[in-house]
Amino acid sequence: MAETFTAAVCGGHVRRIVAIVVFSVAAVGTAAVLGALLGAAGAPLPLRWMLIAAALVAAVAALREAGIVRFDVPALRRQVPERWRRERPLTVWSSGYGAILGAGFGTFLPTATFWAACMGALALGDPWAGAVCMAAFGVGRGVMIVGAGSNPVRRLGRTHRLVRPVNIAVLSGCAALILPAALFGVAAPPPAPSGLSEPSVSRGVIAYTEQGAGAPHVVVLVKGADPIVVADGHTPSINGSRLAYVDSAGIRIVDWRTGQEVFRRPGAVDKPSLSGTRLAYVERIGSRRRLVVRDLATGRSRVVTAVGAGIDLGRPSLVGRRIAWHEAAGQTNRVFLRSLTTGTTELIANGGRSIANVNPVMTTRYIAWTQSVGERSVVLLRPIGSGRPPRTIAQVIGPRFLAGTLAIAPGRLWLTRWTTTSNSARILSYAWRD
Amino acid sequence: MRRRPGLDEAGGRLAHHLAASQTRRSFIGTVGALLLGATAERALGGARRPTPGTERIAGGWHGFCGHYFTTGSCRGPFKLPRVDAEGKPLRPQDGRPVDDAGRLINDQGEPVDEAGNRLAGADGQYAAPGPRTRMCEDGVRRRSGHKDAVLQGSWYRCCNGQIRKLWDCCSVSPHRINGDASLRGYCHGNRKVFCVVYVETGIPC
Repeated sequence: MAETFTAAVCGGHVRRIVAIVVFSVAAVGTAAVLGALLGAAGAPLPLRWMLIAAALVAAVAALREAGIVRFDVPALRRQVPERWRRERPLTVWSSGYGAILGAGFGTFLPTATFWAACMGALALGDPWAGAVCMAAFGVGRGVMIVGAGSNPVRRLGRTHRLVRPVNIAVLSGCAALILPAALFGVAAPPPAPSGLSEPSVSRGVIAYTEQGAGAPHVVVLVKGADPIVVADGHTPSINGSRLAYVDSAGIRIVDWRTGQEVFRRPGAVDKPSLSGTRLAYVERIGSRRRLVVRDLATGRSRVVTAVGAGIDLGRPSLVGRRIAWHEAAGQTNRVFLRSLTTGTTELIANGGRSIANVNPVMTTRYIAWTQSVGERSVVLLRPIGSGRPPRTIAQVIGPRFLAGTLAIAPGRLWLTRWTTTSNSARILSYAWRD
Repeated sequence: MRRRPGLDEAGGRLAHHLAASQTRRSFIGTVGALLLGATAERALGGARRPTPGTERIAGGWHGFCGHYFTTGSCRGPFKLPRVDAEGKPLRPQDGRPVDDAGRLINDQGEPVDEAGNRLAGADGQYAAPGPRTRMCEDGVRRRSGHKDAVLQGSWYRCCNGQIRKLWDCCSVSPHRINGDASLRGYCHGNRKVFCVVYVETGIPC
């Protein structure tokens, strides 16, 4: 069939290139669809035994290619319909040939590699993984045509002796990789969190937690200047020249320009939020949590709220004399806003059981928070003290990604986005209009 | 001091009393009723035991933090259905991998003790590795016969300072592990939630 894809048969070099592209796309697409079907069919089958079976099929196929065992490979012993290229348009016959060869069993199969790939896709038990597995087979079909060049009979004849050794190597490698994983495989523990998270913004300066191989540290980023790194710290809250963060001893406030310590609150405290001379934080007392606002000028503290075991009291957002926070648990997932002047509390969002409302952040006029239903999270924004419905300004779709904490300034929102496979975080920036 | 009769002696006296005071048929009937009563008591006792994952706990959760509906936990070696990213069992308190029998295992799947040393069997040889199967796809199939059980949709909650992924084990079965009608939950297609598991993501919240 390779001699079909020559300039003479296709009617010119450009038409030959078009035919090869169409053929390759069709071959890869058909193989991927076949792989997806196999992956879906394999979903209910026991993974471990299927992997063992896939490894054995690959090993037997390798033995066959090496000539150690002999058996016929199931396939239709025919070529692609030759008259198509004479009777049908170029795109039709080239895509048809690609589909037939991508599907694998539509023509004569000289090697057993196709069936080993099918078994692999079935064993994976996942349509996407199966599609990728078989798409590789389709790519191989495309490469065969591209590699054949304008004189396919001569070139393929020269490389023909490499077909079996390459197949043996690939099949042996697959069997060697799959079998130990199937027999002894123990999933690795989730990787340690890494990347940039927990943003906080004040007057164009952003502070965030950076986690790598070692202990996390806080980075203060000023436009046009070198980043300032505060070692052994996380969960920053920046306000003007002051930076509050959590370290191994509790909460520490420093002047981030000089590094001079301004305040320290030792003990089981975290989730600081700094605004002017006030610091809000969450204090852990056994399994209980309470939200405290401390006036750094007078040293006076007041408890805003307290929750019991099993209830998540989120990171507060303190702006002037307003504080917002979330309480998330089984029956209720709510965001609150309280005026420290009047003591009145407003329920900003009430999610019930299946809708989580978490991580509120504020400007002086707006409040934003994350609302999650299942694997989908959206960041909602609404004016404070207004009955207007919230609008969506960002969204994160799981299960690959998770939404983390936020930061906000007039016209811009920062969102921590976690990648669940690697537990790495990025801070994404979104513009929004007043 | 009066000696208390032993259990065997008391049992013997009861048997003699029953046999002597009744006809053979009524004696067999009494024994049958006693056996039935004992069995029924055991059955009732089993019924009184709640399905793990359905009991209310602090915070308004069911069974474990993050679980807000009443579908029970998938059966595993422990009461809490903690799994890894592949759906295989982990020890709930520390996330160390275990086999289906709840034994700690090393990277090779071999049973080990708390310190990571290989366990020895009764014959002095190393204990043989046991199966470690997926709690949903394999465990539900094995225990409940639902061959189509598969982990599908999930939701996320903050538990103990990190994000916990709650995962629906879905099946076309109209009944869930609790024994009553199953709910749609976050399952896809025509599947409904049969039981639930969870993954500790390690992501701080």
